[in-house]
Amino acid sequence: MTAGGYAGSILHVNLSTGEIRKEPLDSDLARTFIGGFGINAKLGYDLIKPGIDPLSPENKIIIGAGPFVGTNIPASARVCSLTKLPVNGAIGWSGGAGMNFGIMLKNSGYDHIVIEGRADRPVYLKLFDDDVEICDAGAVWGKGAGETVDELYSRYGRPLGVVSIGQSGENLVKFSMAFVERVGTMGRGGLGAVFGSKNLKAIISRGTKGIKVSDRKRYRESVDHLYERMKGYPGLKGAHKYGFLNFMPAVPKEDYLELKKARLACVSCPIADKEILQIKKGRFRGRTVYSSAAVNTLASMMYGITDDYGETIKLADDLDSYGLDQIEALELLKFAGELYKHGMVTEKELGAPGIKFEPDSIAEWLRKIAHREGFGDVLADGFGEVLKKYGEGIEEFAPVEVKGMVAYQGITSPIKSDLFTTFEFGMAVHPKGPCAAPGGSSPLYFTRGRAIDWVAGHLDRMGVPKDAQERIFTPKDGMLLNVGRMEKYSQQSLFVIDMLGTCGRGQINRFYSNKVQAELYSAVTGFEISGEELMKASERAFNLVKAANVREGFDRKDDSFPEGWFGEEKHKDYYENVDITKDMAYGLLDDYYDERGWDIKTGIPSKDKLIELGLDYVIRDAEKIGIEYP
Amino acid sequence: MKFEIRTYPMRCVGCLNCQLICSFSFEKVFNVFKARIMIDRVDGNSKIGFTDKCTSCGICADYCLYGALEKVEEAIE
Repeated sequence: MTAGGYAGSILHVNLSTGEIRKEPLDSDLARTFIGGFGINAKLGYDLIKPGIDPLSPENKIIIGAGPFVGTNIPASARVCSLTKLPVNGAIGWSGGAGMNFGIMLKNSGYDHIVIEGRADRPVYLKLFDDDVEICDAGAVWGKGAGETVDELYSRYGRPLGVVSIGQSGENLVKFSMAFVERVGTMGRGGLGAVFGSKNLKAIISRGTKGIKVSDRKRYRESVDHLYERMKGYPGLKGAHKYGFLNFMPAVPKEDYLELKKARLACVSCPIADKEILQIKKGRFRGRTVYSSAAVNTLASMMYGITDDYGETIKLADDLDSYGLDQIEALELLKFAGELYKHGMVTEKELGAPGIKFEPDSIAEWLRKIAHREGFGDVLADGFGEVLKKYGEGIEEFAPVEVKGMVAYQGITSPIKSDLFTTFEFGMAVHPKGPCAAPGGSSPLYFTRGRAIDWVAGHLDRMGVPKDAQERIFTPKDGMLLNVGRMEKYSQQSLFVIDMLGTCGRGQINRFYSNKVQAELYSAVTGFEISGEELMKASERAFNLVKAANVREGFDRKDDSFPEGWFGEEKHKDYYENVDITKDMAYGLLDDYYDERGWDIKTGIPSKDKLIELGLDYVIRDAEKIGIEYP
Repeated sequence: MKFEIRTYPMRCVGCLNCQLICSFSFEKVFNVFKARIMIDRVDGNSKIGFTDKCTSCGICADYCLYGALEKVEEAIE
C-alpha cells in the first residue's frame, strides 16, 4: 500500500514455532478501520478465538500505531494494544504513551504486530527494520520493567523503542501491565501477564525507513496552523514547568519543583508530562524515579500509607518496576486487610506480620504479589478471583469493583469524585472494565458545571450530530444533560484519537476537533474522509470489540455500577441539581444502549446497528456459535 | 537565509520535533535518522548537535516549543 502515513505492513510472530511473517496492510482494511485501535479491533475479532484462556499460547498480543504516528503532528506517538485480558476474560484494548516505541515501530515498516504462541525460554522481540529476531532474554528475566529498559539501552544504544514487563508480568499477576520505556503504562487488566505467559519480556524497535505523507502542502498548512494554536495555549508554559500538576494541582508547586529532575516527552509532544524525579530527603535520598506523571506517584499518600514524598515516590517506583497496576494492587491490599480485621482470613493464611498500611509493610506485600508468594499469590489473581473466594458477607467493606477491576473514580472510589460524569459512567459500561478511556474526550473532563452552551460547543467540535445533542440536552429526572447518551460520543471521539495515534490527554485533544482530524487524515493518507465518516469508523471498531466481548459471554449484567455508589453518599449530576440514585443510573444505562442502537434488555448491539456499520459478518459468525443478535 | 541557532540543552525534553521537521523539509520524509540536527538524550540530559549538511535554515527552532533551540533573528549570511 502506498498511502501516506502508513508503514504498510502487519507483522505476525509466532513465539512457539519461531515463524515470522510480514503481511501487506490492505488498503480496504485501512480505509474501513483507519489504524491503531481500529485495525487492532479487526485483527482481534478475527484472530482471538472465543473462549480461549487469556494466558494460553492461543491468545494474541496485538499492538498498533495509527497513521499519524511518526509524523510531526503534535503529540502523535500513541500506541494501542489489544488482547484477551486475564483479569476478567474481556477482549480489552488500551492506549498508551508511545514515547519512542510508536515511531520506531512505524519506521521499521510495521503498523501493527500480532504475537502469539509461547517461547520455550524467556525472549524479547527485536524489530530493526527488516531484521526481526526473537532474542534470548535470560539476562533481563527477573528484572524490573525499568531495569530491563536500561539493559536494552546499554546493549543497543539509543534511540530505541522499548515495551517491557516487570516481575509481576513474568509471574502472571492478572493485573500486571506492560510499560513503554518505563513511563507509558499499557494494558490495564493484565497485558503484562499475557507477555509473561508467552515468555516475552520485551519488544524493542528501531526503524530507519521513514514515514511519508500524501499531500505535503496540504499537510503543512494544517500542521503549521496547529503549532501556532499550541504556541498560544495559555497552559503551555505552566505545563512545561509543572507538568500535569499544572492542570491537577495535587501538591504545592514548590514541593514539586524540589523533586523535579527532568521532563520527558513522547515524540512530538508539546506538553512533556512524563517525569524524572529525584528524592531529596529521607532514607531514599538521591534515588531517581521515572513516572508517567508526578501526580501518579502520590497513590501511597492517597491511601494514607505515608505523608512523605520520598516514601510515596519510592513505593510508586516499586509498583512501576514490578509492573503492577497501582490502584488494583493497593485496593486489593486494603481489602485483604479488611478480610483479616473481620476474621475472614486468618493470621496463618495471611502470614505474619499481617498487612499494615505503612511503607515497609506495603513494599513487602507488593513484592509478595509480584512474585506470587504466600497470600500474595491469592491477591495476584485480582478482584474477580478474590471475590469468588471471599465474596460472602463483605457488604460493609465491599470493593468498588466492576468486571473484576476497581472502578477507581467515583463517590466511594479511591479517587473520590462527587459528580456523575462520562468518566464515572464509563467505568461501568466499558466492555473491558473500568478505565479512563472516555474521560479525555469528554467536555466534562476536569470541568465542573460548565454552561450548556459551552458543552454544546465542545460537542460540535467532537462531531456530535445536532439531533444527538438534542437528546443529550433533554432534561431527565432533574438532570440537565444525559450522561448516558453523551457517553457514546465521548467513547467514539476518544477512539478516533486512538485510531489516528494522537494523545488522549484533554490538554492535547482540545486542539483536535473532528474536522481537524479529518483534514489531517485526508492530507496524510490521501484517503479523503469527512469528520462524520471518521466517527462512523470509530463506532464500527467499537461495535466490533463489543461483539468480540459478546462472544465471550458479556452482556448487560456485566455493565453494573458499584453498589457502594448508591449508599448514603451519592453522586450529584453534572449541574449539582439532584442526587444520582440507582434507578437514575440504570435509566441512563438504558439511554446509553438506546443511543448506541443496542438492545436495552441485553445490552448488546442490534442486528440493524451491525448491518448499518457493515458488520454483517458478526451476525453470521455469532449464529454459528449459537448467539443471536436481537 | 541562514541563521545562528543557539541551543539550550537543559530545556530539551526529547520530543524530537526538530528532527522530524528537518527531515521532512529536506528529505520529504519524517525520519529522525535523516535529520541534520542530532539529539542525544540520556536520562533526561540532552546533547544537541548538527551534521555537516545543516544549512542553518532554522526550521528546527521554529518548531521547538520548549525554547531549547533559538533562531537568532540576524541572518549570518
